[in-house]
Amino acid sequence: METLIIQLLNGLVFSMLLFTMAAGLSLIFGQMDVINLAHGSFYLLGGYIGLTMVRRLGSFWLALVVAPLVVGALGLALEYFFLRRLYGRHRHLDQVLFTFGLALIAADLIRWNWGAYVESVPPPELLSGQIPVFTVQFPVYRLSLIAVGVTLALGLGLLLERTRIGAIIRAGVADAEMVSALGIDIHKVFAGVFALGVALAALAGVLGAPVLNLYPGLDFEILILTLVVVVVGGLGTLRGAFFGSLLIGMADTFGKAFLPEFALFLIFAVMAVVLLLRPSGLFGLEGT
Amino acid sequence: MLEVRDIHTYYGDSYILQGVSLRVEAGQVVALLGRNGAGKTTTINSIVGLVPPRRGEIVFKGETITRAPPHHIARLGMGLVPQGRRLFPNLTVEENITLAARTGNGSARWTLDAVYALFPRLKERAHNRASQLSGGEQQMVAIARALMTNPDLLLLDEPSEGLAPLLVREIGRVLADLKAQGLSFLLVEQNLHMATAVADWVYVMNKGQIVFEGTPQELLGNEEIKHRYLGV
Repeated sequence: METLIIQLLNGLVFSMLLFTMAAGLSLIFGQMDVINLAHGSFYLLGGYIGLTMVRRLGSFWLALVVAPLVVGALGLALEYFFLRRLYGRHRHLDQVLFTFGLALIAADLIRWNWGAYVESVPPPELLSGQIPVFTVQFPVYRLSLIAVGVTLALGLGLLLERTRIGAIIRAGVADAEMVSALGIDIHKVFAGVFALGVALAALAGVLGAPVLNLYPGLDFEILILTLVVVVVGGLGTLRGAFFGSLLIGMADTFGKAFLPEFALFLIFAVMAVVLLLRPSGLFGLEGT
Repeated sequence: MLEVRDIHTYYGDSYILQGVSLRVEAGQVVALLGRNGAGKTTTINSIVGLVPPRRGEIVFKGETITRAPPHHIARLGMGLVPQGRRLFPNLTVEENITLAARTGNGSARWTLDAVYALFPRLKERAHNRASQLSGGEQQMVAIARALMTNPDLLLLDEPSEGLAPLLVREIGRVLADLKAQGLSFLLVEQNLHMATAVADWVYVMNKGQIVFEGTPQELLGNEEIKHRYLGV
């Protein structure tokens, strides 16, 4: 029973990290029709920038703010100088090659700068230690990640559903060309969404570092799980990213705890079943 | 207001518009008729910048807009009611209508209230998703959405497409209303009756070229053109 509660909580923690990643990936795909295969790299880069800040300045909180800002600015630059040239319905291959190339370059640069060791980041002082949850002791930091994930989901939901810019983003998911024909500069929207998406990835990198550690290769591990989440949840929907994260986060955590040999298989089995029942994902727009 | 001079437009390698010229004067309603595949929608898409022409020139309110980005052209005062409506199905009616609302230079005659007065039915359905509307209601949303950008020129691409006769008449009434208020528009239609009822000047297209221009009366009296290019 206690193992079950602990795994349930761990699953929630991991789900919320996945959600932070998937929300950005899904927004970028839905809006710009670009599959960002460098999304895991932005996660890892954010995590390592956070690591450096924690080591040099001793502040996890500062890392939490600065890493997403730095990576978000990098995203703006990458969108402006490269990605912008690759938009278009028939250019998926160009986009995939570009973002995959970016991921390979980033992996080498990260290894070059931070080394190939497994680095751990201590959680902030304020959130260290454990507290009782039902009958078990659970780390405060991990619990707070659940709260952060839920808050982020609500915040993003309000942004998308209740603001004008959110309506423009949702309209862009449906028909970006029509949005531009109404007088809205869709390229500015794209740039903003891309920067927001990669900043969220970097935020996930800092938040996740005390739980998952940082090491070369984590970028692609996270990327693959995030892609599965987005496919399962339905491309381009925040709700899909949230419930897809819960499903895959739980499947991964329980798989690793109870059926370690089949953990990866379990995730893809879940994906296969969901896609059989709903080909466009749990919350995917029909006909897309 | 709008002058299209000898534009040539391609979709990939297909040569669609082979030298199209037309004019819309201020306060005028101009209709562009022709069969499916004649190049009417491509003409509209070229004007609004979605499919820029390779050659030729488009001048709107004195500014050359030939290869300007669509959002720039729209902001100059061009409103698009596209073929197939292209509403945002995941947004509510009100979100669709207000998404691109622009007050213009202080003279904003189209506000949400004004648009709801024109289409009272949309007010009742304000919080429904656009995908839940009937075809006629969707067309009203598409027109309302374009009006809310307070355009000087409205481009309507087959507003009667797929609508029951009663609804076609209602859309026709609205267009006559808008014309009476001094709005200029370029109306692409297959419905000869609806187009000639409201237009001041008519162009007929075939295979990417303009094959006839004149007043609606001249067109209605020209059996050969009607027979050869409009199939009536």
